[in-house]
Amino acid sequence: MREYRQSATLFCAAVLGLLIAAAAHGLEAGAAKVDITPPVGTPLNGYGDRIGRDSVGVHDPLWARCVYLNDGTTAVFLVTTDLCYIPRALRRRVLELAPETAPREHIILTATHTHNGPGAMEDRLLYRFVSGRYVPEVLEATARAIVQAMNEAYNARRRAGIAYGTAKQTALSENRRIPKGPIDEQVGVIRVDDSDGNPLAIIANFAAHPTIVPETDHYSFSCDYPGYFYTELESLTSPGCVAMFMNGAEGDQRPASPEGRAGWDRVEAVGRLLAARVKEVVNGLICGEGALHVGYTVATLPPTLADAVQPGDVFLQTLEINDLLLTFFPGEPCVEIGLEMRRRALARGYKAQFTVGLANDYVNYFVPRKTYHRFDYECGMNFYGPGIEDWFYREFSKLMTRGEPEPDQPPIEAAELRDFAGVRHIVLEGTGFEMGARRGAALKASYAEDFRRRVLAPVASRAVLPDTSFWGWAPPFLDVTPIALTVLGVRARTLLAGLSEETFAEIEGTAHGAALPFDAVWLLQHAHYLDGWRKQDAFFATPFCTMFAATGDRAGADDLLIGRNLDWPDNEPPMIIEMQSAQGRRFVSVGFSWSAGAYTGMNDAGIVVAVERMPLLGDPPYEGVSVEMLARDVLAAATDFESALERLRDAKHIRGFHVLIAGPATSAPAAAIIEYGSEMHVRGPEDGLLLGALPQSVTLDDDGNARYARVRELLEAERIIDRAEIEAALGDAAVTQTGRARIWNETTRHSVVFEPLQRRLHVAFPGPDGRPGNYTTLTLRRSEQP
Amino acid sequence: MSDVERIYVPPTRPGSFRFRRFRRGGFRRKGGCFGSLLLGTLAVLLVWALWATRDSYSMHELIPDGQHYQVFVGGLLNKRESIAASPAWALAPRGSAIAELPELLRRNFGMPDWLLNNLVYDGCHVSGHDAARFDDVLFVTRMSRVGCLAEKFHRFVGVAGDFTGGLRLRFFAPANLYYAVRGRVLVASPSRNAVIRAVTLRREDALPQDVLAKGLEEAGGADVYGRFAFEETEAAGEVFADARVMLRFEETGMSAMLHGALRPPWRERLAGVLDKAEPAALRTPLGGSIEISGNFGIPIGELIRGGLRAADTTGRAEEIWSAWLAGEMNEDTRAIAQILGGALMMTGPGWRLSWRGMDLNEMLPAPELVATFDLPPEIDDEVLALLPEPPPDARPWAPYPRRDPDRDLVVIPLIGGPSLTPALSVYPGGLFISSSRTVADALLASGVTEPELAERANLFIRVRPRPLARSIVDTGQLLARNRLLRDFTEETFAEWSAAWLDKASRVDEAILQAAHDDGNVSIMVRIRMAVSSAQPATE
Repeated sequence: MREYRQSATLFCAAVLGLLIAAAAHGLEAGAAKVDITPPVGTPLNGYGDRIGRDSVGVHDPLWARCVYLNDGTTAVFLVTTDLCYIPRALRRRVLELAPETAPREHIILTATHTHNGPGAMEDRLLYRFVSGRYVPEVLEATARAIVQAMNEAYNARRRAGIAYGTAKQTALSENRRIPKGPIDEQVGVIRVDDSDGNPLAIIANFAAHPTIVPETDHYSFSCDYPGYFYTELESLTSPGCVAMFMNGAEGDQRPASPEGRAGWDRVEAVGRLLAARVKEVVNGLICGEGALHVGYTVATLPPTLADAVQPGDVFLQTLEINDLLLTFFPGEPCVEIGLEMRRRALARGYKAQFTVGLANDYVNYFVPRKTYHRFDYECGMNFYGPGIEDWFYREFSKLMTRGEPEPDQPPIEAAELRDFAGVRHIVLEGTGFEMGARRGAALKASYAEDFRRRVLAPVASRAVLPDTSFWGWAPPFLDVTPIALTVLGVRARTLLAGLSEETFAEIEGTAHGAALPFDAVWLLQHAHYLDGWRKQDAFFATPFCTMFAATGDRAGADDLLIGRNLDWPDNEPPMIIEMQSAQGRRFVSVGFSWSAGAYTGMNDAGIVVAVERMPLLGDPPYEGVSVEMLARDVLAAATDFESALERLRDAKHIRGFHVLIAGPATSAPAAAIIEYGSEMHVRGPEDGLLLGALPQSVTLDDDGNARYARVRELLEAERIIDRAEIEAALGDAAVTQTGRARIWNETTRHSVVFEPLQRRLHVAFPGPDGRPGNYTTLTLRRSEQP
Repeated sequence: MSDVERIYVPPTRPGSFRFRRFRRGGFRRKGGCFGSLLLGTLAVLLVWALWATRDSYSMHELIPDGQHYQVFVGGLLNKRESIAASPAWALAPRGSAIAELPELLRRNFGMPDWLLNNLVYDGCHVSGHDAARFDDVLFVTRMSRVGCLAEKFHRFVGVAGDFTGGLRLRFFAPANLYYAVRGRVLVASPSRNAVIRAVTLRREDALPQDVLAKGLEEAGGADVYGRFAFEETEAAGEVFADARVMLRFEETGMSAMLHGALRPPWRERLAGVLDKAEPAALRTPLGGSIEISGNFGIPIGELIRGGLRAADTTGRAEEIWSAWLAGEMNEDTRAIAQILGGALMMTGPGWRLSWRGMDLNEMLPAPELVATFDLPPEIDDEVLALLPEPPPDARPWAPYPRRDPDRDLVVIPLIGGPSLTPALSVYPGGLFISSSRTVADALLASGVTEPELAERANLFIRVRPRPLARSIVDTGQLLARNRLLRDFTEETFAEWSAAWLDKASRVDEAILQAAHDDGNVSIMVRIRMAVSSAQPATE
């Protein structure tokens, strides 16, 4: 009897232990949904064209839908809301009110991105232009409704199983920016069942903007197509199942028009077909145990020019459910980023990956580097530079439990600053990024000061802003600098089109090394265009250089000699930059510390490039790579005169410049002037002489005519021209002429004589008396061929 | 020679103590001699004092005629403490000359009060040419005999003599003043030339006696009374030929009254506004931080036109306004312009404006404005009838006037939310317009009441600086928080605005009331300090 009792006790203990073990390690889940539709009259969010007006009705109710998951060690609240995005203030308030049943960092808030959801939750002024007036009561009510959904989901928890799967679609979404462009074909599905096999929640992940509510209901609340998705899916499943929708990498994705539908029919069709697709996947899923892991961090974002309206850090989360990885983006990634994120996740051993956009916060759009130059909505709303995609890959990789995290940027070794003829001389080698980073680090203070002086100050004083529209009527007490800098930074990106990858990377590196936003460094490169942006061409009203070449017999034994003075309005410290390009060429550029472009330079193949502004030929381009960046790319890659000339001829978008190109050619050394006007002309030497501009030509103003007439007079006086005579001509300051009519004048910043065949250049800078100082020789070391 | 003893008995004077005392003392002969000497001396001194302090000059003889400004102050020394104690001085910019006046009024320059009171015994007259720098200001007052006598001992208090060719000027270094005394009249100025000119005036160059008398009489009720005659070249002189100003300082604030006659060019320029303006019964505006009530005797449309003509004599502004009203400027706004033009000609002549604050939660910081206009009862319905009905296919949010029949309210959705949504309604006797639907709802629910103001005028402005400053500071803080306020961060703005807010909070309200009558303009300004700020100022 006693043995029997002992056995019974042991048996009970074993059963109890098993039950406890099962309870401890089995998945628990609960789901709930709560109506979050605000009162009619609350402004909507998503479109600026609503100009903040009040809503006038409700087409269909808005929801907070929540699933609670707990695998015994990790508890998670996953909430989807029919909002345009999750305002930071809303998340903060939800965390304050949320139940203690899960760590705050395990609360995941996502928005479906419906453009017919409520605004009124932004205290930030500039955001109110899209989200309307700030109504604290709406924020409070929404937060409380979300928390109610969390509490109800928690209270409804029970033993559960989980499964995930994916389906493919090609008819439900399309690329809204590029016809036939990339889309995310994956539809992600997570199924959560109770222990009886009844679905508690079905979560779909699909990438497309909910922006198809017809114009008739522009001011009505609606979930857009996710609303039809909920209704359809819940009708297809057992009662009590909560359908949830998480948007994906939808930055440039929109719903297609399946079945040729339009208006509300289109909205219905997308939702219904999506639900049907999801249901197909759900039917094939068998739920089991789920191991959960939440990764999270507060990451410092890359620097941005829009720091007045954009935060400096952001909360990032990942959720792992068995072999599935979910990455939660605090904004709108474009599809390319979502696809690359997936590729990297799968490479690290995950079986599936869902990108979830509009999660936890909103820092606008994220576009891939290759589209950064585009002047479209997504790119214009990408505020954290072209490297934002890499930043996400790196930061998310640190949160994944599989594979090795991607390394941070290696420490930067600042380049050595040498002295050359009394000016700074920097030598850079490595990849474009490395060269830029080393240069940025070496000149960090200089870049900050140059940006302040050349960009920030004229913008803050409104000297370079238009005096019309908003810029004109904004009252003086209003500081428009944060807005203007953002706009300028975005606008200047169009000058990236056609830039070589190496130079692009160099600018990124420079920004990294100098701890400045990419847009700041890029804007700094083109600060001299700011005046033109305002259509006040004071700076460009006069030619800013002198350049000429002597070729063939005229150059005597040298075969080719080039003289060049750079005139520049600001008296900035000059700098000599020597670079070993990964494109093959080593080159030297005489310019300024901030400048990545080339105004005066030569490479180790003996190719010389010099740039001269010709205002009468037109405004400089505001789209496509600028002339100085093009010149830099020519120096980095050109091996002979012909290839350099061809590259320059291809740049048909440039206006208002003359470029001198010279160097060894197939037969004999050659030189030419490319005249970028309404049409492009290429002009060769006449009688062995090539002038940057021809006296009496229509491209020159009076000062330019006088100057080039003097150049011709001096050069034609000698049958054979040697280096000394070129130096004398460059230093000429005829007393009969004044100001910029003189070859050497008060705005001349450097004077260079090139001996391309010897790979030598002789450089002089203004001395204390304003006259040219001594010429110092620099010989360019030949690069090792790639 | 006779040795006969003579007995001389002087006639007795009953009650003459002195006589008796001398007799009893035995000093009859010696004492009589000393007493006579003393008496004689006193008599001489008395005669000298009377002679020296004789009232031989009239004040007006020492005041040049044609001074650009003249200020009459009655009983300055009696009032100076109350004037200096007025909390209104706290509003003067720190470090300015005006801010130093209370301290100057309290200074005695090392003299006891009784002496000062006798030196500045009667009314004062202050005049000069340069009303900008006041460096030729001439101060003329009548001394009492005591004061006049005391001045004779000026050398004992460090006053230096300045012979000046026999004009006998004096220089009082502590006050940096030159002065001269003529009869019992004291003439003082920081400008030596001004004093010399005053004491060498020809009779025909002096201020007529009746002018001075009238000025002093008019100054009776005021602490300070001033008359200004302006040159046409001066800024104020372009508008006014002359002006009279009265100031009164009170324990709780100050008041000022200005009367001026408009010059003909300005009468002509302002004709469109003032031609039919005469003091009228004004109604109290609906409450706000700034309240304005006006009545110029003409419809609002004419008033705007006249105002534009006055502001821009080229006629360009009026031309643009007319073109806009006619819908020639912008096709899109033609309908609304025509409605507005019609409404403006129907409304008036009385109108009221109030600025009630800011709604900082709006899409843009939105000022909350309310206006009411007189409207003849018989055309109540006509004004609202001017508003077009929305087209049948118009979306509910399209910018057409929307009628709310339940509340007899019309709203026009433009941009933003309710505080940027104009609303209008007709109430008994007037048309109500607000920039904010929320404000309109609240005010119309409680009923529009606009009692008449006590005094008749053409323009009434009341400013309540405390809530006004609070609104401005809150707006600034919002802009600073969003980094949109030039030269300020949130922290530096908070620091900067604290002092400003403090100063504004000392004033409870400031009222300006202006009236026009046949080319003459009267302006009354009254500043009432907040109770809490009035007390420290009297410390």
